[in-house]
Amino acid sequence: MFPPEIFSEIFSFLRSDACVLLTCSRTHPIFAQLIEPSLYAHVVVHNRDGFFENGRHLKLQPYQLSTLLSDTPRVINYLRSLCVELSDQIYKDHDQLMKGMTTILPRLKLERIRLTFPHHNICAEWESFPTAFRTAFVACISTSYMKEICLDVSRIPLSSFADCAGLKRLTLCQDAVPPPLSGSLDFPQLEALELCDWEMGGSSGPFFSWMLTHAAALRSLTLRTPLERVLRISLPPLLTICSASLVNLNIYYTRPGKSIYSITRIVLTLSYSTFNV
Amino acid sequence: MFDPEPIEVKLPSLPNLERLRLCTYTSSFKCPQNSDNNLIRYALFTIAKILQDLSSLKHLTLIICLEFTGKDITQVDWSPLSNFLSDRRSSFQHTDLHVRVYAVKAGGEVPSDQVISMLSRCENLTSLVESGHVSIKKEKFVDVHLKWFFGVYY
Repeated sequence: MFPPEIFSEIFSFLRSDACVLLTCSRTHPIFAQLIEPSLYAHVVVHNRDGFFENGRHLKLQPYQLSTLLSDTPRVINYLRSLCVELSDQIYKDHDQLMKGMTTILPRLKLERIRLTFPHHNICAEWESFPTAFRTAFVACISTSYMKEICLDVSRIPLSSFADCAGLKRLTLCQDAVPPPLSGSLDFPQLEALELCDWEMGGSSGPFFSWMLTHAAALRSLTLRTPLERVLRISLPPLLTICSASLVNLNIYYTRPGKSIYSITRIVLTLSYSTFNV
Repeated sequence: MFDPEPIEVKLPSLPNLERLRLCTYTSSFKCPQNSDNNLIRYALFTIAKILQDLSSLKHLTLIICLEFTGKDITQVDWSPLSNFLSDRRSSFQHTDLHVRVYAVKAGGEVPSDQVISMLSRCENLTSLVESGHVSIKKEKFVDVHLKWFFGVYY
């Protein structure tokens, strides 16, 4: 019989196969205990039926995660990575998923978090989310152990990341809101930046200017853009800033990935109005 | 002769850059003279502009997505792609090549086996694979954005 730490090591290689881990955990109570750190290391929170289950990661609805954390508090120590999957049914997300996550997020000790619309070609504006959810999200990421944040969200204030001292990887959609000129905001550990659907539109200028003064230490840059002028005009100065440190460059010169963004904004606005009635 | 509009992408010197992943999606809407053969040349023109002067590069990943409009994609001339890679065989230690093809007339994405079969008819490319300079990737490049381009929904 192998010692328990050997089993734990073996199970850690199955972190991307929740189905196998669940099956193994049912074979013996000791296995169940040994598997917990791997099984709960990455959890997907969603608001959809199980039909979309892919089996790679444990998928829970907010109430299920809340119950799990209440019944088994030690799971908080295992949960390191969280993906919050939003749907196109924004009104439903606001009412159920975001409300449910508002109480959970501040309790977590995550290293990675992702906020995404995996099944729809959209991103959302930060201001469109309920205030309570935004507050909880910022509380969740404001830790020294948060290392990676990936957002299908535009126009998020960079000040939201002010207390992410250990942030290493950041993914943003379209653009973000830099701090006022008088404010200072640095990410000393930031190694990798990904900019999705970067179009350098009217509101992107301040964010671009901010990057030109804060991206000098990047080791990895990923750029997704449908526009030739972004490649031609905006990318070179950004690369010049980080030319000494850059080791890894990904360029996706493709058509827009989030092309119905403007429609999303309308949907979100309407759903907000509905709630406020 | 096909003469695409020049895309004046001039990247600065990146002395420590080791890995570059370059993904292009080219459809007939982008290509000025939209025959399927020209589509390949047009995609390569953009790629060539970006690749120039990147001397420190060790590993290149090319993801070339093409949207063909012709009736018979088996007649597409892939030699510009093989020549392009052959010309740069000494520049990079290794190139991973992903080619994804959407055939408008066939109404969907061409299976990767069929794409590889077409590529394998290029002798230049075959010799690059055999010498270990190029790997043609059969598996689809997994990327949430490309999923939308090819209409792959859950």
